[in-house]
Amino acid sequence: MSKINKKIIIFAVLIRLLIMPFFYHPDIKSQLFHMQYLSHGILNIYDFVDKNKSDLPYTNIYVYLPFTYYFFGSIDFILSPLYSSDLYQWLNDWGETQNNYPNMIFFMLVLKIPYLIFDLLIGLILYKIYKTKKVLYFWLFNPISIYLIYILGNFDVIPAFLTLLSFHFIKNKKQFWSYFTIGLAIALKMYPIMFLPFLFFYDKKNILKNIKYAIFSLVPLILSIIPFLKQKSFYDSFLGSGLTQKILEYKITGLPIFPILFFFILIIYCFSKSKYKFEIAILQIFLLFIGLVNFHPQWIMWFFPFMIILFVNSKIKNKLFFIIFFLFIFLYIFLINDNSLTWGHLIPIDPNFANLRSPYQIIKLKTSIDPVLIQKNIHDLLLFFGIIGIFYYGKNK
Amino acid sequence: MAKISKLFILIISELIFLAFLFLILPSVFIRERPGINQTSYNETLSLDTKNSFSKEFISDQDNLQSISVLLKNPALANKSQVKIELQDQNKNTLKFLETSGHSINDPGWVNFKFPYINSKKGDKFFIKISTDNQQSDKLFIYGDLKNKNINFKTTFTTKNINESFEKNLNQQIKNFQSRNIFQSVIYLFLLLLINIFIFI
Repeated sequence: MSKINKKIIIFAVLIRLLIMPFFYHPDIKSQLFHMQYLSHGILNIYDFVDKNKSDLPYTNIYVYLPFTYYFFGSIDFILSPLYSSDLYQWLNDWGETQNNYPNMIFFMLVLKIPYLIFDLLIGLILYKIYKTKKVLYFWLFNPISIYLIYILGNFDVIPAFLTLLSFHFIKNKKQFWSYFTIGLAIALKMYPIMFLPFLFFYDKKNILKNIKYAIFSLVPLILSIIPFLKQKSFYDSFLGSGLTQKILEYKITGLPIFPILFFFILIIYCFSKSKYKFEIAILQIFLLFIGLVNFHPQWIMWFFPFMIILFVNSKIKNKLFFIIFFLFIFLYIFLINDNSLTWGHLIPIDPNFANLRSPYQIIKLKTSIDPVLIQKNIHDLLLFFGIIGIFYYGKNK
Repeated sequence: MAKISKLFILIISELIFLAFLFLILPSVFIRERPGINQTSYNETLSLDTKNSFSKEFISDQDNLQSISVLLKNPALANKSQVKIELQDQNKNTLKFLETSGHSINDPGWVNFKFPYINSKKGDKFFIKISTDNQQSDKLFIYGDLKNKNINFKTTFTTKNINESFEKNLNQQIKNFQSRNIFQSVIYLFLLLLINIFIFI
């Protein structure tokens, strides 16, 4: 393994410190809004929100799993000594003045510290898996992960790290730790369950060992939801998140396409002999997911760490494919009718950015073109490119 | 010597980045800024043919660009016409907007944006709200029951980039002064320390 230049890591931290405070997305606030109640001694957030909905300043329900609440509630408690005195005032202000907090840059800086740690840990695990500096440096300096982690400011970087760690363990034949780690990721956010079959069939020689340990992937989830299983408010909250619906949305003759193609990718994966079969399969799932699902931008984070090695090792024309694909993704995101995904990111610099028209609104007001139609065409193009990519990488696999 | 010049280049690049974020971007894109407003009243006052409202305000900036009032149309049921007028100090109508209950939320700010008026800081204006709604307690405006004052917001625009730059600079200085000084110092010190560390 070649030696890492520490100064490059510190330079990467410097770039992050220059980005972290100045970009905002409301998700970071809405998530922390619920998590703050753990410090108030609230153990059942579903019940609490259900009973106090009309009195709470933020009326949306809590849509995450119980473990997510305990995990981030604990992080909130640990970080609280670093908070500015007005952070909780901001957190509970959802009215006219919600963006008028000059200390917002420090709120963002402190709240993103856990993301910085997990971001660097992803780089470290990538280095451990692939034993090349190129992958680490690409992770540290690529603008996509910086955008996903520090501009969108969503906590998906944490389950993404745990999923990558789980892959690292399965590669090293540490089945128990692999399943336990992905189990923690699943308990935080359900999506890593998609990666589970690929871990299971990664090493076919050890399939019996996999059968023995696979149960541990569900233990953290089951243990954390048991106390809430008889509670209606838990089901109401949990079913409101919508990922399953989105995955099943795209249908041809009544059949949901994503699960069917997912199954095909899994079958091909089982017979693959490629050194990078796992990464290729995840890339194929990603290409399919982006083309078929009305995705939230932060969901790209789920797949992104696994794609790094393929990008770094690919030829120029493949690199160009990735770049064009991501440019279209950003164009798609840019046209979402949500100002918080464009100008709204700059609210910590000036709250008046919240009042600027988003590209969606500008197109709608100033032209006769329907921005939804442009977005749909871009999505169709992404599906087209995605299918080409799936076949190309399928052939290589 | 080479290390010092590299450190210097790095710090300059960071300063350019920060200047782009704090000075260039807002100055170029934020031309409309909020002015005098009143948003704290929570009472709902019936808006009908017998109850129209007029609110006087003195502009605190040049070039008035929009006015907004907070109305409530319960269950979005009322379809009456609502007239929002901007009047000068002699109560001559300068601009008016006629809107229907369809576009009034439960509750929601009704924004009346117009091509900016060449007004000066200190000019007196009136906002007049009237309706053809004949039923009382079917359409409301937020205000104060005692003195019939109403909630309102204004925005003002900047005519050119120099003016916009100046306003933004003042705003950024004001924001900097109201930030937690301890955290500001720690953050800047941390950045400086990392910069130095990279080059030793």
